[in-house]
Amino acid sequence: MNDNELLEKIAQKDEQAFRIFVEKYHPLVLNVCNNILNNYDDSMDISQEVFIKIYETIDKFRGESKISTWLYRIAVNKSLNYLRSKKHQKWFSSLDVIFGDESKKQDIADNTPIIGDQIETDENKKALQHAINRLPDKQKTAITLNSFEELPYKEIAEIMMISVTEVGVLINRAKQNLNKYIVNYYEKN
Amino acid sequence: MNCKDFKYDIAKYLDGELNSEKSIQFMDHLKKCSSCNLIFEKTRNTLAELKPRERIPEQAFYYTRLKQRMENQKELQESIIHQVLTKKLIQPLVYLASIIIAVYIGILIGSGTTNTNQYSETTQKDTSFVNTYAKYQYVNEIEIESVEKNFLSDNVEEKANTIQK
Repeated sequence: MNDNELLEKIAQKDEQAFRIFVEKYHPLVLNVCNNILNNYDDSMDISQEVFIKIYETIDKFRGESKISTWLYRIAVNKSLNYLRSKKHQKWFSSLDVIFGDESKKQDIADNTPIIGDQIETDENKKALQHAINRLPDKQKTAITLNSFEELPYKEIAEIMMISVTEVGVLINRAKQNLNKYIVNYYEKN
Repeated sequence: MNCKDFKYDIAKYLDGELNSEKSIQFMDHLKKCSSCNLIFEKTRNTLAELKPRERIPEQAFYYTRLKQRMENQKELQESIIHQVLTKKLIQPLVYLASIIIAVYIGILIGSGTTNTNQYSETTQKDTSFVNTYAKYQYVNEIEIESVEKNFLSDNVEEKANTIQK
């Protein structure tokens, strides 16, 4: 059964077809989410939301782009939305801490353990994640898809629905900003 | 090249985007400035992490968990609809109906509407109470006359009698 047949059957709410589709594509969706969110549990949650959305809105897929492009697009949007909502939650949690709610303290603290020989690599990863988190959404998406997912500019352009030139500009700016944020990070720490 | 320019050109240098003149200046500064050298090493190692990450492999029971979540969501939505129907619609309607009924009963009692029960004695046009009322009308009038008036009139009669005597 090819992808188009699968999608047709999913549109008719065929559970077996949906199962085959999920088994086939969940590693792709899960990894995109993880590359943006950098957290396994959150990625599991958000990737499931991606498939739920697909199941509910399958009739909106017009087949103009590849299924993987469509999946990347939904996964990226869901992950970015989640990051935005988490940012708001963090802001409110920090208010709780200021006004004395001790239970919220652990939500803000970064409790990633750093052990043994991994210290330097972990520090590099931490600095990089810190810098990526500060990038604007478009730059973050472009650099993540290009560096972590190894997607060519053309496919990133289709996912983000922009021109290939714009992708190049976004990646260039992202690298400049990462340079700036990483230098700032090491100067402060 | 000063320290500030050096720090913000690291990524360009690593990508080979600096022209030959700037590249030479960059290398000169790197040799001379130890603090920039340290920052350069750290930034280079960090930017080197911009590479494909370790892939999360296929997950066993992924579909089962997804299906479970979809069912939970469906149940939650149904319970939300149920709650909305009961708490936001049916409950207020029941309250409103009971208030309307109570008000209607109150109006009925207040306006003295005759009892329409066919087995009631007063159902028929019973006018006997009119005669009874007329019979005792006079007594009632006396009853409502003030006592002081009687005293006053007695006193006047007594005075008249004493004057005559």
